[in-house]
Amino acid sequence: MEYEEKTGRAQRPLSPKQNVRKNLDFEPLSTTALILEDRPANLPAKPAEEAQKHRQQYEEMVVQAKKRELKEAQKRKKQLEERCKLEDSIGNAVLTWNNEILPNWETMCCSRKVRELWWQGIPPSVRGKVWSLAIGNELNITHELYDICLARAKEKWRSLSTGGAEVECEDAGFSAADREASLELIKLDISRTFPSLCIFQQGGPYHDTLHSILGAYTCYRPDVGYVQGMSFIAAVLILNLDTADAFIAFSNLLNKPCQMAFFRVDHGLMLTYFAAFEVFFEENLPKLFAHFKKNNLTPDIYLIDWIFTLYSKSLPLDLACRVWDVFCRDGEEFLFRTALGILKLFEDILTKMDFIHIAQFLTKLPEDLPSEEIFTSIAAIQMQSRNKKWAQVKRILKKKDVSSECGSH
Amino acid sequence: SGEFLVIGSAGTGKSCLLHHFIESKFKQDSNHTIGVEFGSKVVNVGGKTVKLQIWDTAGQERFRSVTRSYYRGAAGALLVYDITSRADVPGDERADGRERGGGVPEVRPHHPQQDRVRYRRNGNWELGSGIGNWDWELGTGNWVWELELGTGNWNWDPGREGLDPWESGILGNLGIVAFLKCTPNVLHGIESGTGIGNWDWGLGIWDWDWGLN
Repeated sequence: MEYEEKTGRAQRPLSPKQNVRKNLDFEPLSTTALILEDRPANLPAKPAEEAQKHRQQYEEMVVQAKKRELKEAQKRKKQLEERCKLEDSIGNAVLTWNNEILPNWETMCCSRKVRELWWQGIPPSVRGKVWSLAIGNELNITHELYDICLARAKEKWRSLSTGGAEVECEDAGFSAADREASLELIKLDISRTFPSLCIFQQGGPYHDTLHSILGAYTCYRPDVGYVQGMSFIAAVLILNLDTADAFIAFSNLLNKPCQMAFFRVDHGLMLTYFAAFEVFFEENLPKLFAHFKKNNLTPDIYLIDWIFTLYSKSLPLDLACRVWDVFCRDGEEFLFRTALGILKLFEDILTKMDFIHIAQFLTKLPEDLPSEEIFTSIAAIQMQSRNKKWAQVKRILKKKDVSSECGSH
Repeated sequence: SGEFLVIGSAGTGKSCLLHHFIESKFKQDSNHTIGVEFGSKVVNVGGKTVKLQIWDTAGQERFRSVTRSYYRGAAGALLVYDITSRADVPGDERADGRERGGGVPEVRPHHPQQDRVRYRRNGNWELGSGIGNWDWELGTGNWVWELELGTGNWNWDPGREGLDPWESGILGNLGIVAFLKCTPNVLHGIESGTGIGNWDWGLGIWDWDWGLN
């Protein structure tokens, strides 16, 4: 209110000027600087013919400038309208999510209408709720369990910093040194998680939250512990959920087969995922696939980063969240579909690159990725190969892998 | 072109070093590397042009099985480690008492200004124990160079004795020196088509768990 009053006062002295121009449809900018002047009085006046010519030229210039300004004004108006439209549609989407979908989650979440709306991207204000519901809580983690895990983590930190006795922790096969190293590493990595946002770093508002969730997880799952990449996932969840809910979503998310395979660095399983990815790669982008093969560019080179961080490190954050949206809807296969979408979008330039340039490009994607184009490109990727879906292809490859292992023994 | 690895524990500054080597600029905010990232640079060694393909690997021990699979094609490697972390220095004993494989046969700290360089660790300024580089003469007659470079995200105190290690080029040059010194090795590997010989002994140098596997 105060601000409006102030600006209102500030505008008042300008009003006489505005009156002069009120017959104009738009506010001219540069034309106001174009003023035709006669020669200074100490010089001989222009001949009439020349003066006439100059006047004509001047008028043409003014007309051109006005035209340009009008065009720009129209462009701005259009942009503003588009923004308003976008804001309206987000506003409408929020209403639909809040009033229709969320209260009837079980019955509505799989309907075609909801799936389509979901693909458009979940509005940030309901994103956390939708992610939580979609990820679920198979592990039945309660807020109390989070508090217990956090308390144990804090105890461990205390005993580490005071150099006191080792806190007993029932874990499987990791030495005390590894665990200590992993607690140290959490500290180190927090400051290296979205450093440009300046909110997870020492002294930032979410530093302790991120530290708590990662620490609590190492106590909840000492068999998995802290693995690099986790801090990005936890950070994205923190940005959308309250701490305990973020922990619940985090633990359940990491418990999914794909995430478990990667975070445990289970080489055999990871190779199965890469092999399944290559089946769909060849199916969708045969030319690029052949080019990658020729250059010895294996999928691990770019997929490890993308899968471990669920794209949150490699894509701009808003785009990454949209990938998460559909990942929550479609599951792991969407992560691989996204990868193919990215490859498809850049197919032409990638086909012209050699190994090192492809590797550099894919491990450091351009910063100004157009999100609509990416999603159009992802939509064009068929996750079906010879009538087989992702899960089937993966199952067949896994079986093959197991049987070849048995054969070699 | 030659494939070249940058390896070492988490937070030792591998990516920062690589960034400085390629861009000749210090990187302020850096994410940690997941999996592997890449850089490339054309260098001139002994009148020959070599295009280095640099593989910058993730530092966490858990990823060792992934990074190890990249050793095979490499012609050389740069091991970066944290001079302030006992557990990180090759040849030192592990925190749990097991001895690491490999080790440093001979240490020759050589930089005259070593004790003037300070580094920041967990927000505190500390005095470095020195910048040194070690060289190994291996059974094959090849050389592998390693470089120790303080800690993770390099935040150097520019005010200290009017010396900014980056401005003065001490660190920058050292980084580049480390790579260039490696390059004849890379070149040799490329020419003979063998990489730096047999990676079995290679593992002995930087994979501290090799004796245990």
